[in-house]
Amino acid sequence: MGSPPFFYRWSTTFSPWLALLAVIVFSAGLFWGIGFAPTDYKQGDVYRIIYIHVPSAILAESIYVLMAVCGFISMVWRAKIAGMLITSAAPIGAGFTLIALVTGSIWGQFTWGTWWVWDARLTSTLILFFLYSAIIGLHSSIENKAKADRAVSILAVLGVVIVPIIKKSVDWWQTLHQSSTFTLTSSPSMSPDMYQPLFVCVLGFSFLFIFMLTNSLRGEIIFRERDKLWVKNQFFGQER
Amino acid sequence: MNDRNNTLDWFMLVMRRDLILSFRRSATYLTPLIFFLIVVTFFPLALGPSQSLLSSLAAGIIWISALLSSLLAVEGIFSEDYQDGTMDQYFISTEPVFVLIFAKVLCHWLVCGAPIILASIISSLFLYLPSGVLFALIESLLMGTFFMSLLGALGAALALGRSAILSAIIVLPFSIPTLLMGTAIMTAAINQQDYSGFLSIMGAMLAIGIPGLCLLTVEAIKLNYE
Amino acid sequence: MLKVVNLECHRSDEVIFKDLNFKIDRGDNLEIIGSNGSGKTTVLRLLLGLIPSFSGEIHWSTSQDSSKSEENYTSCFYQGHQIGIKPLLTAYENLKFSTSGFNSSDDEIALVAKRVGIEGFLNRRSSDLSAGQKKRIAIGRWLLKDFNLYLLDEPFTALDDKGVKLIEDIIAEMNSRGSSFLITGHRPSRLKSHKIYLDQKNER
Repeated sequence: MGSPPFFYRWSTTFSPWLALLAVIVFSAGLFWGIGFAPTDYKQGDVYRIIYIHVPSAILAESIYVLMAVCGFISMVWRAKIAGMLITSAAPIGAGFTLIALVTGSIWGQFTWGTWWVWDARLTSTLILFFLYSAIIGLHSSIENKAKADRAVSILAVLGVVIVPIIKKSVDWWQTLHQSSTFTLTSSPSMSPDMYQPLFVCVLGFSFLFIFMLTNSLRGEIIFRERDKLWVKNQFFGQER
Repeated sequence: MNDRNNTLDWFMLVMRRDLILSFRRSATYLTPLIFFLIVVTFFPLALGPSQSLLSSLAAGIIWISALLSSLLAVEGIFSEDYQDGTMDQYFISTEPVFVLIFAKVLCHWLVCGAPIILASIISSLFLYLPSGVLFALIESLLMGTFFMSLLGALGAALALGRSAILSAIIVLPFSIPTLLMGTAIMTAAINQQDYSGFLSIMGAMLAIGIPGLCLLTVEAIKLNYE
Repeated sequence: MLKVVNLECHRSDEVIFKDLNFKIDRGDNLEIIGSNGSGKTTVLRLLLGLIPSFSGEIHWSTSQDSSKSEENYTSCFYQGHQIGIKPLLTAYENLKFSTSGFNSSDDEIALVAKRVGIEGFLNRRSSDLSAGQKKRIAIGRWLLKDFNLYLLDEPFTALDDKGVKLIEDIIAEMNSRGSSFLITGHRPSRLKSHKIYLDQKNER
């Protein structure tokens, strides 16, 4: 599992199936949510943006946790593939964070009449985006990619300690400046009709993420190991 | 020869040498100080001289300026040692390297952090900081700037030989808890509430941060040895 | 004291050197000779653990009994290409704040300074000194404490004839006290030593 060639060959077989699964669940969830779920009696059809917003926000955080775990593995056991995983996951995670922020802001404009509120959750998502940017920025500045992986692992490990502190401190900061009247947290009684498609959407987005990650990781592996014998055999056939 | 206190000897060696070096190169402690004062001055210039406005923003302004200047100051902390081969000696020494890194950061903070805290007292007059909270400001800045020095050292190690702005980008998002904690202390102090809780959280962060960040910094420097 | 078997090192899939075998005993000298880029520095840094990735065996034994091997380099002194002389420190401070000097008394330092010919500049900033004089400070550091093995990366560069003679004398003197030297250089020196040529290895 840990060795790049093994992962590459293994993923060659399951990647198309993963793509199929991702496309089916993803489109099913979105169709259901946007086309068939009942209209909210207070917000109208605008609320349907949660079928993109919530899955993205959930992924944005989970991907960071995944990266932190990989960072730890890469630091302690020097597993090459863990470092590559961070490299591949970071841009995707940043993308989902950005989608969550943009959709959230559009939603906010319709429901609260403002593009941005310094709510605790919005703020920590924004900070999460900065953390992703830090990782991407650091990685792109180091030419030696194996070295860049390890540098980035250090940041990811630091992140796993500090992200809970950031969340906690942003919460404190929010209660300290209790001026905004909006709360995002209250979704008092979401009806099952609205909730079920959301669940499918989260699943679909996750499959999509796993597919994107696998693909990006495959590319990364081929690029890193382009001088290795197994890559040459893979693409140019067995040499006589 | 006494080998029992070898680690302590090394610690003192690095401390003494770095202190002498920083005092001979006055830019080490003057640049962050001047940077701090300039940034503080920019706020009244941008926001207008209204006493009530500045007074309400004073704590935040001082904190942001202190954060930025202590971060910028620490940026080049390892580059000289790395380039002239002194860093090699640390790694060969068989002493725990993070202790030596800690010595460097501590020395750096003594030389750069202390002037910034002094300057923050002066700027509290410039910005009409509400009276009676000066002590809270100094207390919170003492810990805050030290934490920033530790974080900045990690950034400097990760961005060794690269641009200063990169190390700032790396480190700034991670400095948010410090900033929020510092401003929480200040807000509580201004409202005449008890802020010892926030202060002890900051202390705890520092207590974990000193060994933790120093160890990560060593890992980051090691990356350049491959 | 140090035995190296089949040492091999790669840098991004390129072999820098391979099949490197040598042995250093107490009081021995070994010279590694090669042109730029032949991996002389890499050998030294590899022995010291500054470069973690290599294949082959490195056996250290600090005790007399060479069969008992340990994985350490505690009693080594390393002088890299960059000799770590801080321009803002005086010659005295550069000697004092060094790996070897931090336990030395002022008398010892004065004695060493006299030996390497910098007694006149002890209190001058190193930025005022010439490259050769800085090199002499570095040589002084060898003498402040006795190490079992000295790993010196091109110690002869930037030195005049008198400086070269000084190094040769010092090394001979320290050999007799049981210290060994592993030296790199572009061309063989006049030292009594085993010599290894790195370039030939590569061409084969």
